[in-house]
Amino acid sequence: MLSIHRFVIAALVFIILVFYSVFAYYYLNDQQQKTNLIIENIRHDLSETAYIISTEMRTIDSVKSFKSFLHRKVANNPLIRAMAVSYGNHILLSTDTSLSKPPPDKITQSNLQNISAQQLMGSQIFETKIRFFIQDQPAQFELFIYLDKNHVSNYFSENQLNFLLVFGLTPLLVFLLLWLALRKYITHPLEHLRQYAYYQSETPQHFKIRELEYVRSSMVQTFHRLEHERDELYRLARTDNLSGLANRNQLNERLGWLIDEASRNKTEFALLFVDLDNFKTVNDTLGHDIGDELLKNISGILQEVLRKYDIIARVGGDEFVIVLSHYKSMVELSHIIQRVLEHITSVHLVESHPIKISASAGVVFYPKDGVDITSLMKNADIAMYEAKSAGKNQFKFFTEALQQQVIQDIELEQNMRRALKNGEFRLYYQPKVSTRTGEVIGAEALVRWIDPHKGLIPPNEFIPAAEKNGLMVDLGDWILQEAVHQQTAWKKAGIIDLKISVNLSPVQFLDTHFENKFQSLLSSARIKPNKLDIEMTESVFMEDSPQNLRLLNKIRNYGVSISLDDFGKGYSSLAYLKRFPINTLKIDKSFMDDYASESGAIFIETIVKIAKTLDLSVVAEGVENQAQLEYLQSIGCEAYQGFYCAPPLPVESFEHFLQQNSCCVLTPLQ
Amino acid sequence: MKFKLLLLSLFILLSACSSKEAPQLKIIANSWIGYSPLFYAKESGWLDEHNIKLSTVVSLGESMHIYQTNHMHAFTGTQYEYRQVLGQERSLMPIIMFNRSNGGDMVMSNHSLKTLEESSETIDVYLEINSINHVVFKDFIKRNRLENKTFNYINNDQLRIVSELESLPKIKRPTIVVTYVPYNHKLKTLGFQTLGSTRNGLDLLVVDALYTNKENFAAHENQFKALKTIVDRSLQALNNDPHEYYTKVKPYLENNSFEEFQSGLQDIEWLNHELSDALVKRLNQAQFPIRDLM
Repeated sequence: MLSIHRFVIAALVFIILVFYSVFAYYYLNDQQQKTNLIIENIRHDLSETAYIISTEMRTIDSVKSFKSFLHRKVANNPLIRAMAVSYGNHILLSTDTSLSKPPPDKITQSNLQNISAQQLMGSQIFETKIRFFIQDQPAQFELFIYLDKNHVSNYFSENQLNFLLVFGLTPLLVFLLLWLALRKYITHPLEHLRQYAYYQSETPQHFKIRELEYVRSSMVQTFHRLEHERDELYRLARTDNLSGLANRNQLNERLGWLIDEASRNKTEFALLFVDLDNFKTVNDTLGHDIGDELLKNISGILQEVLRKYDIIARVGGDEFVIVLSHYKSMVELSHIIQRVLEHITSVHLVESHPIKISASAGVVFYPKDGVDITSLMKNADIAMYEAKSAGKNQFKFFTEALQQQVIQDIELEQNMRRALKNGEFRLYYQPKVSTRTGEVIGAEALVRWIDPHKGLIPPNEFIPAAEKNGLMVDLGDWILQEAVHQQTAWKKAGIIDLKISVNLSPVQFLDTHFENKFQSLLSSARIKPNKLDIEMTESVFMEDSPQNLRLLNKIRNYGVSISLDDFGKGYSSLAYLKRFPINTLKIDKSFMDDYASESGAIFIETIVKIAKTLDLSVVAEGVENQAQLEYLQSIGCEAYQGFYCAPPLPVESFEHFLQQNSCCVLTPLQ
Repeated sequence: MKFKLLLLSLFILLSACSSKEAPQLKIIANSWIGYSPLFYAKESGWLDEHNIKLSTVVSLGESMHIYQTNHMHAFTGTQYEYRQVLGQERSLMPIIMFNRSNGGDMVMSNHSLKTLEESSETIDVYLEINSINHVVFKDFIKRNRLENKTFNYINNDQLRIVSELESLPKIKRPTIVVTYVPYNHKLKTLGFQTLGSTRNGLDLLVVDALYTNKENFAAHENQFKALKTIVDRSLQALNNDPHEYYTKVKPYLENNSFEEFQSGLQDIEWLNHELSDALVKRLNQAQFPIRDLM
């Protein structure tokens, strides 16, 4: 592609060539015209001189009287070096003393037609005849004009020089100036603009050419705007919009630098993963706007409490990462962390709402707990969860044991997923028995995991993990489906038509699809809803949310009964019994274990009395001997379940139990 | 880099243009023995060394006319020609003195002065009327009280005068020729005798010099200075070897004999060195400027 610079040079060269071609033509033409004038001048002198001599000469000797005439001719005509008159081989008259003989014919020029400049320079002597009569006899002299070669040469040289100066050098100078002007005002500015467009390293100064100046100023404005926008985008890409703190991108960048520096200098630094405790409650109860303002408050507090060179980043909704690289000792570090948590724990006044909140933090050290960003963040997160688990509003250092626990949790989760996929889970059924008649009035479905390698894994080893890792939703769905299908199958087979109790995890209540799935299951299985009982722990009721209440009411409205499991073990608030649609209270096994003591009996009897007062059924769990059963009968507890009657049994065993066991009276099918 | 090369080329080109040879200095002189140093220099090639071109004419007045009409830079002549040109060219000035006529200009006749005084015929007077000849003749008339005579002036250059008189049969009628060296020698052979000259019988100062104007002098100052040196060198050559000098200048002086040449030298006084006080006084009286003389 042709550059403007080269294009200008090519154009100028082309113009110069055209100009010089015209000049050359004009020059040659001019040379010829000058030659013609000189020849005409010579011809005129030859003719006039020959005529005067021929007409005025009286005798041959009298030709000498024309000496002054010839001298005058020569002196008057700078083109002529000398003139001479010869007769035969003798010079009769000459203005040049050095001429002794007439020139030979071959070097004289008598024909003065069509002589070029080159021929003129080559011919130095011009000749004509002086014709006269001696008496009546014609005779003739030769008249020679010797050209002043130097003068003619100088004349043409001077002409050449003038031409060179006027038509050769002047245009060249003009074109040079034009070229310089184009370079200065066009090509250089364009080159500056090109470089500016590519690199923006140097802002070009004002240009003289208006259009270029428009382009320059437009480019400068555009680039300034783009630069501003780029900086803004860069800032936004690295800054958290809400808090103004560094975001994850900036954190990764700065943490990367810090790791490189610490690696080179063999130093350590601490990374804190901070998570606000129960922040979701703030959002849910006061709204997200208040939650955002609270986050801004806490961000400001972190910036105030920490030093300029500490890295503070917001990496999630209520998650912050703090990197502390300048501390003298662990004591000082602990004080810093403690100060941070204390300031967060203070009461925040957000839009006239006093909010009390706390934070939990996990602490890791580079390089001890991780040598890259991912491992540091992961381990800090583990430590933070440990702090949460330990009661919140505190910080925990990451340890090897914690790491092992996490590894086990991950392994457990993977195994559970495999188990669910491979059908390793089984439902066991434990009969619920009437204390009065000994009849089996229902059964509680209890999940068991039959691992092909480890054998039976008790539920307390995998249920909490499933609740934590989110697998509880799938597992709970399976349990519910399996229990309902089993109940339907028993009924269909004419074996039994028992009310089946299924434990429902609080995690399942958080599943937004649970309601639809539950309704769909009831419809598809064609089970009578009154043959299904849902058992829940207190934690569902503790989340005293309208959503939970609505869902419980819906379950109840289907005709499904609701049992409150492990009653008396936790808070056992009477308010739950008032607000929520509960049918049955289940007395925890721990109370039954202590029924023999006075204080233990009081609790059991109180629960039974409350149930009777509120017209609720009551089932005692963990009954293991005859005495316990008799006690329950004595206080009016209606039903029990426990090893005294039967442990949780696989389907076949349960069916066999129902047919064989003497303590249970089968209820005939209706 | 390219740009610097271009500028350098341009500079060299301009330098080449500006370093050309000095322009030619063109001077014109007539065939007078007093200007023979110029002829000698030309024949010796000394003028070419300084790009000086010498043109020669026969007539005294011709050199003046050609100077005025043909762009010559300087011309030789007497104070008469100087006065003539000065009227039109105020910056004209003599720059090189050649000689003072000391018998070189003369009035000759085929009759004696007494015969002329007594004659009642019209006297033919041959002269170059537009030259010092006329001044010389006026001085001759005045000194010899010939104002009441009738003169028939015949204007021609000296060569034609001599040729014409030569071609005529023996002249009977009284005839005067105002002439100068070397044409006097031929006239002697035709029976003419000198009645008065700048040495005897005439009280007239005739000096010969080279004249130019200030503009030409400024343009060719170095060449003029060189010319002055050349004239001195020629006269030195004349002193050293008069015959060799004569051989070179002979064609310019109508091929006179060596004796005639020697005789002619006696009729002039060279003024190439310091001027005498008396001469300076006379030149001042004649209002002939000498301040620009080299």
